[in-house]
Amino acid sequence: MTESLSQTDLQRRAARYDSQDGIGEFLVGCLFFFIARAVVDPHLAWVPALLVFPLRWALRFFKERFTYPRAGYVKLQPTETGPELGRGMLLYLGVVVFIAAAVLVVWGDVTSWDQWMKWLPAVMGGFCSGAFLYLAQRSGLWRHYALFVASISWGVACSLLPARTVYEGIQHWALGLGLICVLTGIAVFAHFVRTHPVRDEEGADEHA
Amino acid sequence: MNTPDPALRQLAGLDKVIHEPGRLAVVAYLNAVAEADFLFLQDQTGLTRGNLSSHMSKLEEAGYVAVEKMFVGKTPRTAYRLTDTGRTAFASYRQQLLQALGEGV
Repeated sequence: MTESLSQTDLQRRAARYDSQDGIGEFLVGCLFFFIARAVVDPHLAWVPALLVFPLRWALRFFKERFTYPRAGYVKLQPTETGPELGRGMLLYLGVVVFIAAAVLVVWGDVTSWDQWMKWLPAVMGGFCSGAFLYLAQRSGLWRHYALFVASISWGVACSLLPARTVYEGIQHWALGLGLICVLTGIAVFAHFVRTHPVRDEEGADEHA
Repeated sequence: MNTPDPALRQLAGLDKVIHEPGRLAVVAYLNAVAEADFLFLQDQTGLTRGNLSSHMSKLEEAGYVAVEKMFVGKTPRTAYRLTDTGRTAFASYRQQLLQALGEGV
């Protein structure tokens, strides 16, 4: 792929560089495991929401320990402001709900609460796919597009699989997607560590 | 006396600090990100340590780059970011170059 010195290409290259360690996927996968546990245990329902904040801290901790000494540090420019991102997320969620409703109108019963519950894993997969799509468009990495597809297709599969309760379907979806993310993260991280030895500090900081 | 060609005159007026290829690569990168360290810039530009170090000093002297030195654990890290002056200078350099070369190049 030929890339120019255009700002978009450079931003995308920097985003790809920043995502080359797989740490983000690993941590998001762990978050999905917590979601899978919290879905079936009402006492833990609030845990995943609280974990979003330490996730940023953990990401920075691991990057400072493993990524920056090997590949250098880069902080990406925010591409959207908070309100723009919020509007984009709401629009995406709206599109997912609209598609789910359209599917139920054609092949099911849109007024049936049970039908909505049955397809909840697919709707969840659609919601979460937005985050992967955002990452994919920012970095251009094929594995982010693959996670986008996996989130939706696994959600649909979990909706079609027989489940005793609606929670079981969501739990299967979260466990499966968590496993895919964690395994992807480990594989990418192993490759990154193997191909990026730690640089000597003196050279890395010569200008200092 | 012949009047100098305006396009050539514009080329002659290009910012010499940015115009050097190594520094142009660094400034273009720093314009695309919020901040970056030495290792990242070295990897992306392919410059040698000595070369990059010398370019960073020149950019800092010109006020185009701000340098922040810190310690992450026991490891020193120097983060570079383009100052407002640097961003304005790069935007103006880009504009001048595009105008001078035109769309036919």
